[in-house]
Amino acid sequence: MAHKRPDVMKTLADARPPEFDPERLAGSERARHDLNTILAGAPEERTASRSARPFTWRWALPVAATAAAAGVLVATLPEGGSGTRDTRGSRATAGPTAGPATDGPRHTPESGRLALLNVAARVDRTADEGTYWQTTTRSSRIDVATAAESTFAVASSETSRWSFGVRPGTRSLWISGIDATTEPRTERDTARWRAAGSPKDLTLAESGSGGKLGLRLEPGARKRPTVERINGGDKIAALGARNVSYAELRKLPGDSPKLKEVLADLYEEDRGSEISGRTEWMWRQAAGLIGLPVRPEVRAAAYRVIADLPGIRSLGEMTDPLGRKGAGFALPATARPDYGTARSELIVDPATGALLSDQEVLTKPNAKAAEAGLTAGTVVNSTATVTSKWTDRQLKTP
Amino acid sequence: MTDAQRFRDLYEECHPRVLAYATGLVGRQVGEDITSETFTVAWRRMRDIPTPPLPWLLGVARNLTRELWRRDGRQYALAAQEAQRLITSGAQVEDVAAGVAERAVALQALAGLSAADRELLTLVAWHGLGPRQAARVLGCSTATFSVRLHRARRRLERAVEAAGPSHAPHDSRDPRNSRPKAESRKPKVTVKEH
Repeated sequence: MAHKRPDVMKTLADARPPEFDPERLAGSERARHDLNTILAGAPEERTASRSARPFTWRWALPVAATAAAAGVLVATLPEGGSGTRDTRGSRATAGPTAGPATDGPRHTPESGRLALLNVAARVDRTADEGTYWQTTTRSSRIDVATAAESTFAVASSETSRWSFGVRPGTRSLWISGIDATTEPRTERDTARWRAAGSPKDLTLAESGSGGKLGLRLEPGARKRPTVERINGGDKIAALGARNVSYAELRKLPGDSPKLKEVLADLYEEDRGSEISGRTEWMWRQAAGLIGLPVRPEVRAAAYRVIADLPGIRSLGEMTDPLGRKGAGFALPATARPDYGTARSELIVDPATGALLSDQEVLTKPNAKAAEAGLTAGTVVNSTATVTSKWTDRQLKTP
Repeated sequence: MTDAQRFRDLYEECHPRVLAYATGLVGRQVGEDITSETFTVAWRRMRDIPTPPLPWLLGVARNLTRELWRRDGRQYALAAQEAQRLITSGAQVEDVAAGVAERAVALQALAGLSAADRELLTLVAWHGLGPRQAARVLGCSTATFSVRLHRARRRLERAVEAAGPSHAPHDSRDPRNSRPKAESRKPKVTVKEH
């Protein structure tokens, strides 16, 4: 077959929509659930007979262009090596042997990964330490509420101050609800809320929850900040399903393949948690680590772990919710029951590697969200880090 | 190695690929169900699975979708439409890489072909199967497969030509294109290695 023009099969292969990319379909909650269900139906573990033909399909997978990444990587995994204790986590725990396969699927714009690796290289390495690691965050969210058949959006914001006491006997505190506001998002939302009789306790549109548990809209009423102690003995933070001490946080590896391995193990332990999907989970944990009192190397490694997540992409220069400029990164969009589909984004200061904002942005509103005026691009949830520093003085409680 | 361990390995390696294939036939939602059923069959028949296992698994998935078609034609039709929609919406996907227009045209062309042609072409181009393996999925001989693929490919080429490069848009969706020139000189964030 002679081809005068670019090979149509090649173009077609390049055009594969992400929905058909196995890399993106791996590790879903549903897949795990099905696996467990199927195996639970098993009588008991049957021991395989030693057949004349060794079980070699792992190496026999077709390694065509579209499958190269997964195929090559699998072939390089050492049988029974440290990273393969649990083969379900093998892709993420392959470590340095993974080679070019860690570049991920073809549709990944290389720029996303590279830009993040560069952020990792810029992370402030000043190895400061003090008695308290303190951060201030401003978080905002938008909820879609219904009242008297009217649907509208409610925006809430608050500032939190976190203080992690890292010396023996110190306390860790979380002060939340500072400068808290909850109000209809726009004038149109205000009008709809009033038309519904200005109810104080609101019901969330999708889940039907709310009321006492949910949203309280009382313009003018100032919410008082609340102070919570967040340490239990020497445990000061959560990592996956575990509470960890400062000593344990300090021990985290600053080498990204090793950190990935640690996170992969925690993921196995944390199955069935509310965050579904391995990629989102890894993203959440890695992004969370950046704000904790970990060594600067660990922060850099966390960015590298994020850089290697499948489907990561660069969004270029962006403005965070506090108006600061930074470089944006996103995961592919996934379904968010309350809104439609949305994607997780990070905005990072490319000069210092500081995490500016960790946010969820709507990519396609569902019917209720659209009715409430939310559109693709609406930031439905964000946490912007205002400051983070080591200090020797505990927070003053209001 | 116990059967359960082997099955876990098989599942880890092949589940995303079977799901990708099934999604191409019946969309994601029904595709999940088909994939689940496929692996239930695989578990029961663990010892019969040939090497390599993927063509066998895809063959099972394919049979299950035909069963669905026989059992509930309406549900099948809706599911197949969903798969079709995924392909055509891929033609509008935003992407900054070069060759976007070409790919969009290829997807449009693909969406316009018969389901049988689409199946042949995507088995090779998207699911990474060689002619022998793809033939096994479809249950025909390799020679027959090659002939059918050749024809499907010609039809795709013609459809691509018909859609034509005259279509190739200068991307009006990109707001940067409508910005005044002066602004484009403003340096973008650079994250270079030093």
